[in-house]
Amino acid sequence: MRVNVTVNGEQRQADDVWEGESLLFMLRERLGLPGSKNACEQGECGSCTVYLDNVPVCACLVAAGQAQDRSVRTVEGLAEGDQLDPVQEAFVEAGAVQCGFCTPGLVVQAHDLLDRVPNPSDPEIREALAGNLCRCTGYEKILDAVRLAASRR
Amino acid sequence: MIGRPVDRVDGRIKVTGAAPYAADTKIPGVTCGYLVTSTIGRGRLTGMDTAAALASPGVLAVYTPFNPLKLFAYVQEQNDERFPPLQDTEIRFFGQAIGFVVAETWEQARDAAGLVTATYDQQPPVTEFPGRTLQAFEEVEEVVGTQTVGDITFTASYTTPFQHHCAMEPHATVATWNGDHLTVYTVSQGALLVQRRLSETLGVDAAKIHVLSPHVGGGFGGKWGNWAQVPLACAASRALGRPVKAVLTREQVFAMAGHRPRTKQTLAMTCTEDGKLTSIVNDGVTSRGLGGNWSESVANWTLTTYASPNLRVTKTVVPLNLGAATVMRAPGEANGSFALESAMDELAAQLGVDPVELRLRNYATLVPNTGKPWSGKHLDECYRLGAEEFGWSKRPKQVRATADGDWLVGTGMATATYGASRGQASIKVRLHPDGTASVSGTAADLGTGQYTVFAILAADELGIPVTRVRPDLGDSTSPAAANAGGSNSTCTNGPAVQVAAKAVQTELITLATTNPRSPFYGKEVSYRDGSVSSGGLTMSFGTLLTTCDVGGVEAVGTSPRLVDPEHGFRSFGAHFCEVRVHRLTGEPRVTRWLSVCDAGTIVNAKAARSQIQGAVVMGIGQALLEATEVDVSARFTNANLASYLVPVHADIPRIDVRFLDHSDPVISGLGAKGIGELGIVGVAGAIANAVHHATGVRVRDLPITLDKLL
Amino acid sequence: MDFLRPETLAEALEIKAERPDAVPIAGGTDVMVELNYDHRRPAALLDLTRIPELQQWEDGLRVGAGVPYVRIIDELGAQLPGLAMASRTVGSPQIRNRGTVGGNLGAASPAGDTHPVLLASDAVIEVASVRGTRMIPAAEFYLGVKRNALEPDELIVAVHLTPAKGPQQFSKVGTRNAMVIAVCSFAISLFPQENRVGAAVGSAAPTPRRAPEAEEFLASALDFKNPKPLLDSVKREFGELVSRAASPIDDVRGSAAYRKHALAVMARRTLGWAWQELLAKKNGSEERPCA
Repeated sequence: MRVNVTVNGEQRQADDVWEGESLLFMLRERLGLPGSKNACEQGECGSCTVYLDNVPVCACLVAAGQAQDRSVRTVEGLAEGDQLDPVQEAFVEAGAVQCGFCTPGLVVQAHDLLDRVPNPSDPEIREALAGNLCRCTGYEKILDAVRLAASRR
Repeated sequence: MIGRPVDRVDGRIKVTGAAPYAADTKIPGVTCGYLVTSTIGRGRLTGMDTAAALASPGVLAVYTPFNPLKLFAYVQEQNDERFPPLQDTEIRFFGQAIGFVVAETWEQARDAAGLVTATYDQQPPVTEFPGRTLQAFEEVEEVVGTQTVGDITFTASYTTPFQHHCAMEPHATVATWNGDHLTVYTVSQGALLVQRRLSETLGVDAAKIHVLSPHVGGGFGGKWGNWAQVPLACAASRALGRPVKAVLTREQVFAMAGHRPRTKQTLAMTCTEDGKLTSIVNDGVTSRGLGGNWSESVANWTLTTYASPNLRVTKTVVPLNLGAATVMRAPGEANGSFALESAMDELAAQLGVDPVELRLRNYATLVPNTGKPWSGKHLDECYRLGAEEFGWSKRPKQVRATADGDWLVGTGMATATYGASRGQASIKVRLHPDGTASVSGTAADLGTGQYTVFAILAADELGIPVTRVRPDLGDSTSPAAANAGGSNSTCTNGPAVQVAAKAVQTELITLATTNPRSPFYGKEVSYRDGSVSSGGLTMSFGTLLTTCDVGGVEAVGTSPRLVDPEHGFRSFGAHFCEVRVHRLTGEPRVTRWLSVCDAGTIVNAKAARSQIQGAVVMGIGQALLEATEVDVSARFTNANLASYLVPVHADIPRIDVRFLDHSDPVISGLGAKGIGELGIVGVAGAIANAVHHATGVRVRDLPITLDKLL
Repeated sequence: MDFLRPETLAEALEIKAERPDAVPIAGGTDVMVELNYDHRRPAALLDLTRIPELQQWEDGLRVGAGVPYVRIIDELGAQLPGLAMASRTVGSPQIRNRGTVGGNLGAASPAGDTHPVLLASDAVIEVASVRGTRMIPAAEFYLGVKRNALEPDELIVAVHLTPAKGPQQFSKVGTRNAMVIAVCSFAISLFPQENRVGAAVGSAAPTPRRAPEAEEFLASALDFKNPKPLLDSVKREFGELVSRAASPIDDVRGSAAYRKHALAVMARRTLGWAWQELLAKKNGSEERPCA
C-alpha cells in the first residue's frame, strides 16, 4: 500500500508498504531515515522513539498505515540545519552518549519531557526516561544531560 | 589534555542519528537474508522441505544443510560457534541456524522462512546444571602451596544463572562482492576478527576481505565472535552475485549469539583466629554450550585476590545443549567475585571482624598465586578512601538494624580487580594539507570511547586541538590495532597512537627539509604544537603541506606487546553500596553507590566515569534482575527485552565514581590500565552483602529476587 | 494482508461483520509485537485510531475504548483514581501515550494492569456489532488466559464506570521501578453509601478475578457510617481471604507462594490507605460545619 505522511516537516510518500509493517520499518527502510533504531521490536527499549502528531511513541508499535496523513518527527528532524537542539548539545557535552544506539530515542523522549516540564526533578527525569533502555552509560550522564539542557532552555 | 574531561568526538553524529551502524548500510540492489532456526534442542535433521519457500514471491535462494553454501571449517577459536552454519545435520541447540532464505525484501525473506519445514530425529536435550550431563570432566586445576590447613573455617556454594549481553544493537551484517573482493559491513569488536574468520571459512585471501565496522551499538563480549549471519550473508552474496543483508531478531540473538554460562562455586576457607587466611579452595563448575567451546574459569579470580599461603581452584565443565557460551563483561571475574566477595563477608561476620578490615588483613601485597610483585597496586587506598567517603564507620555491626518506614536498610562492600595487559598495536597518523590529522587503526569503539581516546592522545602528542584530529576506527585496511576486548584497548592502542604521532613529526621534518618547495629546505627545523619552525619562521603543517603541494605525510607507529614475567598486572577498585529491602514484599532496591578505582592513568575522565557507571549498572542487573531461563526443550524462554529484565533509569541511584589516577609506569609510558570490565567485578557481591546486612538473609544464588527475601 | 481504516464506528462495525478475521489495532502495544515477532499474521488489520467516538470520554462515566492511558491519568484522575493509579504503572511514557484500556481488555492478559481496577470498580464493558450493543460486566468479561467474551464480529467500544463514590487504591509488585509486568497486583474500591467493597487480583490466576469472600467479609466487618480505625485482625483476615482467592503459578517473575504472600500484603496495605482516606474525609466533613 501507499502511505502519505509528513516527516520532519516534509510531505513524504512511501510505496510498497506491507500492511503489517511498523512505522519504524517504513522510516528506516523506505524513507531513508535510519536514525531511529530497531532494538527490541516490542516497545521495551525506546530506541525507536519518534513524535507522532507531537506525542512521543515507540515507532515499532505503530503500524505504518496508522501514520497516514499524520505528522512524524524523528531524531533527524530535531536540529535546525547545523544548529543542534539544546537537548542534543547537552547529550554530547554531558557525556550521555556511548555506543549511541539508544541515543536517538532518548534524545526525542528527553526533548518531549523538557517541552512539557521545563525544570524536571530527578525522579521525574528517571520516570520519563524509564522506557529508554541504555546498556552502556549507567544512566547517570543521561540525567546530567537532561539537567544541563533544562538549565539552558 | 590527558585526564581532562573531553567531549566524545563521535557525539554529534550520534545525537543526530547520522552515525552509520551495520544495519543502516544502504547498498543499491541489496537483498535480505533471514535465518531459519531449529525448533528442537538436540538431534539430527532428517529432511527439510523448501519447495513452498522457493516458490514464494521474491525468493532468490533457500540454503540448508541439504543444499548448503560451502563454508570451510573454522580453524581459530574465537569464543563463538565451533562449526560454520549449515555444514552438517546435527542439532546441538534450540535456535541453531538450519536454513538461510534470501529474497528481494526483508518481509519476503521472512515470509518464505516461515514456509520452510524440517523433520528431525529428536533426542532429549541436556540442560540440567550441574546435574546429569553428557560428559562432565574436571579440567584445569591450579594449586599453590599444600592444600587445606587445619579445620575448615567456612564453606558455602554460590550459583549464577545464564545471562545475556543485551547490547542494544542486534547483530547485523551486509555483504557485497566486487569480483573476488568482499566488502562486509558488520557488527564487531574488531574488524580483524571478522576478516580472519571469513578468510578461514570462505577460503579467501584476507587481503581481499574489507571489513567495515565504524560504529557498534554495544558489545560487552557478544560481538567478539562472528555468529551465523556473518558467514551466511557473505557466502550467499558470493553465490547470488547480489549484496545480502542479514539482521538477527532479538530472539535469535539470545539463542545463537552467545551468553554468560551458568556457574557454581564451592568455596572452602581456613583462617587463623585473627582472620588471616591460611587456605582458600574454590571448586568451580561452568556450563558450556555445545554450539561452542568456551566456558568460564569461574574460580580463577580466587587465585589473585587475597593473600593466602594455600590456594586451590578447579574447573569442571558441564556441556549443555545450548548455543555457544561466550565472554560477557568480566568473564569469570563477574561471577567469580560474587562468590568470593560474599564468602569474605560471611567469614567476616563469623569472625566478628569488619568486612573492610578483613580484606585489609588479607591484603595481597604480592600476587597470591605467583608471589611476584604487582606493577602497581593501590587497592588499600581504594578501601580507605571509599570507607571514609561512604561513611562506613557509622555502619551498624548487627544485621537488620536499620529501618526507614517499611524499608530495611543495609550497606555492603566488595573488592574489584581485573587483569591488565598490553598487546601489540600499530597505528597510522596522517597529516593533511587542511591542517587536520587522521589517526587510524583496526580498533573498535563499541561505545567505549576509543575514538575520543585516539583523538586526545594524538592531539596531545601533536600539540593541536582535539577538534583537528579525525580518528578512523573499525576498518580492516588500517594498521592492526587491538580489538575491543579484555579491557585492553586503551592500554594497548594508546601507546601506539603516541608512537605514531611522534613518528609522523619526523616524516614532516624530513619533508620540510628535503622538499625543494619547502621554505625550510636544507635548514635545521623543529616541530612544536602543529608547526615547523626554523629561526624566525614558523609554519603550520597544513600550510607547509599546501606550500609543498603534497597530499599528506604519514607514519605507522607500532607499540610492542609487553612481555614482563616479573610482574602481575591488574586494575583494582572497591565498591560500597546501600540497599533497601521492603519488609513486607521483599522488593530489593539499590539506593546509594560509591566506587573507587585504581586503574592507572585515566585518559578521558568523562568517558571513564561513564564506563564504570555503566558496568556498575550491569552489575546491579546481574545481582537483582538478570537471568535467562531454559525450558525442557532447551529453549531460552525469556529471550526478549520484556522478559529478560535489565535495569531501567528508574532503578538506578546516583553512582559516585572516584579514580585514584596513579599512573602505572610498568605497563607503559602512558600508564593506563583497563576500565571496561573492572566496574562490574564485585558489584553482585557488594549488593548481596548489603542485602544480608539489611535483612539478615544471605542469598547465594543470583539473582537476588524478592521471593528469596521473605 | 489488508489495512482497513474506518472513519466512523458504524463503518468499523460493518467491516468487522464482513471481516471477522480483521484484527483491531489501536495503540498497537500488543498487536504490533505479535506482528513484529511474526507470531500472528492476520488477514487484515482494522485501524481504530481514526474513529472519533472511541477517543472520547463522557461524564457519567463512559470512557471510549481508544482513550490512551496518559489521558486517563491527566484528565480522569479525580473521578477514577483507581484506574488512573493503575494506568500510571503501565509500561513507559511512550506506551502510556499510545496504549488504551480497550486494548488491555482486548488482549485480556492475566497480567494486564487495569483489570483488577475494572473488576473492583464494577466496570461494565460496552461491546458492539452490527447486531447491536451488549453491556458486559467486567466480572463476566474475562474467560481465560488471553480470552474474553467478545464475539468475532464485535468491537470493544467503551468502558462504563461510576465516578468513585469512595476511596480507591491499586498496588502492584514488580522487580523493577518502572517498565514492569506485574508479579501480582491488587485493586480495592470502597462504596461507603452501599456498605460494600470491591476487591480484585491480577497476575494471580488464569484471569484477573474478584475476591468475593474478601469483599463480603469487609462488608460485614466494617462500619462505613461511623468508620473507626481499622483493627489489625480485620486487615489480616482480609489479606488472608484475598490471598485465598488467587490461584497463581510459579513463573520467571515469581513463585506461586510469593504471589499469595504479596497479595495478602497488598490487600492489607491498600485497605489501610483506603480506610485512612475515608476516615480523613469523614472527620473533615464533620469538622466543616463547625469551621
